[in-house]
Amino acid sequence: MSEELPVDPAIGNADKHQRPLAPSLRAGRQQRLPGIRHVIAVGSGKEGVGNSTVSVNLACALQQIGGRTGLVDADVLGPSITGMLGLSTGQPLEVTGHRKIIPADRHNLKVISRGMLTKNDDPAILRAPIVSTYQNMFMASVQWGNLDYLIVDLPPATGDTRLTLARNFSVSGAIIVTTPQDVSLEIARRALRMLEMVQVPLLGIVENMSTFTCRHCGQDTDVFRLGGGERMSRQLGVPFLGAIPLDADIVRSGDEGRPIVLEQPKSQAAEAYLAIARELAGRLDGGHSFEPLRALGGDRAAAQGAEDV
Amino acid sequence: MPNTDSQHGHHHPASGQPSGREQLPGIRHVIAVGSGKGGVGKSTVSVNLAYALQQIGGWIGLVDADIYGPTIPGMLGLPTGRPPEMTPDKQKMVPAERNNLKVISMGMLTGDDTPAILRGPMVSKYLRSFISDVQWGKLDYLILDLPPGTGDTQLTLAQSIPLSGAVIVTTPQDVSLKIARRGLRMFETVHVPILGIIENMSTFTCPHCGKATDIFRHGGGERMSRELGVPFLGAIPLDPEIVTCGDEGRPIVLDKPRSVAAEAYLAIATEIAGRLEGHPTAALKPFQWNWDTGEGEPAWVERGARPAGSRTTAIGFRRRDARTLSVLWEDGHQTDFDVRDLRLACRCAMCLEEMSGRPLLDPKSVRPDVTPRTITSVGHYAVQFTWNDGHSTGIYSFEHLRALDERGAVEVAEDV
Repeated sequence: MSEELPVDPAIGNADKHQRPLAPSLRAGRQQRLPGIRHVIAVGSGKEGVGNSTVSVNLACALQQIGGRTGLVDADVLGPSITGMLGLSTGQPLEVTGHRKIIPADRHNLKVISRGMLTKNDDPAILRAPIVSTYQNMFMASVQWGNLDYLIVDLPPATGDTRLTLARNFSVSGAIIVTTPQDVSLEIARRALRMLEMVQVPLLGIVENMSTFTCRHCGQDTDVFRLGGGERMSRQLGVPFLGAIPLDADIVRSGDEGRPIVLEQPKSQAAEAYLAIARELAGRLDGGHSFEPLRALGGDRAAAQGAEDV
Repeated sequence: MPNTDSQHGHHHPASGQPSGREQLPGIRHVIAVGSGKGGVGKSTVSVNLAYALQQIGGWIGLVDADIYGPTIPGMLGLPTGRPPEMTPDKQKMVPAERNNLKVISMGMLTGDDTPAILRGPMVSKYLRSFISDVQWGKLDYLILDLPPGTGDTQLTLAQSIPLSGAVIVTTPQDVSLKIARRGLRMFETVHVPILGIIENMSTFTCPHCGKATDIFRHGGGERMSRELGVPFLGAIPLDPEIVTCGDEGRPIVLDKPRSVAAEAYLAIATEIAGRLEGHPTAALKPFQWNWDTGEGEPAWVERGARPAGSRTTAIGFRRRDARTLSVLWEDGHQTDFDVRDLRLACRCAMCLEEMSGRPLLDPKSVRPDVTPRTITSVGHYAVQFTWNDGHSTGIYSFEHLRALDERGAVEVAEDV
């Protein structure tokens, strides 16, 4: 199996000069990205809970409430953000004179994704070190300009990404996306612990695919059960940021490249995202301290206290 | 797509396979269940498929190869954090057992809350040991619930284990399809035959008003199977019962065997078993064939036939001449049908009275120069003709065609 180069040949043109594109990272030292006020990682213990949908809509919501926002699709193996934002694919990335990648600009969001380079059907069979190289490059070698928020859409909990990200970059905090059901909660709990082990502060939990409202009769069904996100936030002593309903319009708008926060800003789903964005902005800039939660489970009161300061 | 020989990799391990492939004594078929992405319900499908295969008669094992987020212990109500017992000679792990299903999972080793921060090479090592260092005994099918995606783990697995085939799970929506397609390509790259596509989280039926909503859109799995020329195995509805049953450790196939979901699983299991016991490579890809121009003509691969093959599975069609359709059967038999005889043998409701079987079609009314315009495959069991006399409602099952041949009800010019 041939491995791709750490840097796509599509970036830049002279392969002699590919190396400078990869950020120079010193092991064990966190890098602060200049001009970026807050890096927010969005992750889940498992894929398919809507991590990318939440990342995209949250980025749009943060932008709607006035923040300059960027979005990194750190899911190098299975990038889906290009489709959700209707970005063109299979194009070489533009690079500045200083060998910085110029991000795509969509709905006033700055975006970088490996999906922009590849055609959608290209099989991404990449070895772990190459995946990490991409992720570091997407964080540090992109011309972001000044940003209030850089949302990093993490790939599913395969371990490697979070380790690299947390080791190499200064992250303001992480959000865990989960669905309401138990099986998924066990996994989200795992993800929480993983983030804590690498000392990333937790901003809170978003429950996605929550109650479904039938458009024919208006009645609710909890397709994926009920209230798991809130229960977990209580158990672990981290804030519950909100629940996003299970809604066919979110799915459709995502497939069509127009996130629901922008397409139907008055919808219940969009309002839920905007509320979460306001909450986050308040937490990040409202003078709260975001010490990593070292106490977990065993010392919920302390964790709760830290959050209530 | 892989060639005929690689379909049964473990029967013909020598030819063109990576040297790392191991033999698994006592295990007839290893089936990988994969998806391009996670959260499509792959583990739910694996568990229910395992029980469905058991129901139709077989000894089944299940490996939870999703080492990063093992969910199968939860779905089967198995204790976690308790390492599997060892055989007396300390050489092999003894799998857990639930309703006669043998199971091994990373969750048994790690417990619920321990994050599996593992790096690629370690994962591969664990996986191989999960398959070869377990006392499975005799199994008809070993289901491998793969970690989602197309990374290291999947690649290592697909290369190092003699897989009989892979099943791809997807949801109906586009984003997910693109990703499933990627998973499918990966299996093809490493020469693992694709048994087919299962669409999970399909149409939701509101329990209050009974009306359907396609929450995750509609029909993607079928569309993909058509586009990529791999079989569509079936759709599983989005159903809160499946979720609840899974969370409570009672898979729906066992808990509610009469439900729509359980029946869908049984149909899929039957299809998969048929493919594996039969000769999957010989199966025709879907076709729409223009009789006059020859466009879309299906395959005719005589080496796909074998003496023990199915009598009623057509594996090839070709136009012998303007008025003769030849059919190649999996058992090697060939039949030449006069196309007008086929028109006369139509069994649709307009040509045959449904209840009595009395013919409604007067042979004199069928013009002598009747020929097909198009011949289209219907699933993997039949073909449908559009005739130049305007008739197009008849579906000819392979069984019917073979019966026509053997009864001599049509004039056949045998070409054996």
